[in-house]
Amino acid sequence: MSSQTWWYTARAGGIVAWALASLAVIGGLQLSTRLLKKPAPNWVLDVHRFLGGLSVAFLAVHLVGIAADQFVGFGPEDFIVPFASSYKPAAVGLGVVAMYFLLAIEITSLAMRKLPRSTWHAVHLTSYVVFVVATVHGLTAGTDRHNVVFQWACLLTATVVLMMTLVRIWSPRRAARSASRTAANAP
Amino acid sequence: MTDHTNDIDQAERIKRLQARRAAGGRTPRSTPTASATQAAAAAPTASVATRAAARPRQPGTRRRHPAAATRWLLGGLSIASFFGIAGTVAAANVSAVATPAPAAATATVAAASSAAPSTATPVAATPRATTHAAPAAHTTTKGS
Repeated sequence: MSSQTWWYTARAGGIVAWALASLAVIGGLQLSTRLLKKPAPNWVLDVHRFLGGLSVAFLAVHLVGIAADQFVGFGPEDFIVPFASSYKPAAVGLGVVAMYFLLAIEITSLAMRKLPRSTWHAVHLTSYVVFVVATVHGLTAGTDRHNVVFQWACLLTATVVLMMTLVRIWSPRRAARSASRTAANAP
Repeated sequence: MTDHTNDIDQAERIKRLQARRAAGGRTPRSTPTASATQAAAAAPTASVATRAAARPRQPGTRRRHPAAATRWLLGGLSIASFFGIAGTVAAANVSAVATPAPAAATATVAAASSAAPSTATPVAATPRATTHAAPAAHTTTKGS
């Protein structure tokens, strides 16, 4: 096992977690906008939930990789306290903020039935914050920020999310109807 | 006489209905003393109910997810992507280390030949120092 294995683990885990979270956001926007007619809403909802859970799992891989790597020297306070890191405090702090929001979204989604719908929805809307903050974190703190493929992936994903968000904003009535229907169909 | 015949018909229909429901695994809703109108009303829906009851859900089993196959596919793709990215990063790192290493070594040797031997430590040729730039800066910052 190479001395840099944990560092590769952290990098790959972070990229996959970001990609899965982005896909989950796109899935959620598809649920609320019904931009595409073909995938059934219950199928999209199931995939959306699974992607959210999977992104949390790969976030854990990302954190374990950073914690286990002896070279970076991140302490517990760097993971817990935002903007406390001595290395690129802003960029790393954004990652910590994104982690907290992602965990909040996942926990409230798991406890959706026990929470008021307005509370769940308010927390769920922070997924936009997670997407933006995690993307900026990847583009500023990540070692792979100079990778052209990663940059293009960020650009493409951001464009799709922005377009779908605009569609949702411009058709609020349809969005509200779709959201309520999805919630009613949720098992 | 007519009433007696009707009673027999009703009893037979109720018996048949109960037998059909029992075959489907459902408990009868109506008692043998139920009226003929109830039995007649239940008769058309009995076949539907029997069909539905033919596939009873086991108490311990969970409902299948709508995207169960897609879940497996996405999980596999995620793990494959993870190892693919990690492998690509590792390969790029190894090649990046391999390429400048001779130049660094040459520079080190040149420095060693021109300066004192004690200053010719090949630090730049180590993989961490050349390719792990960001954490190196972090460590330096943290140490200061």
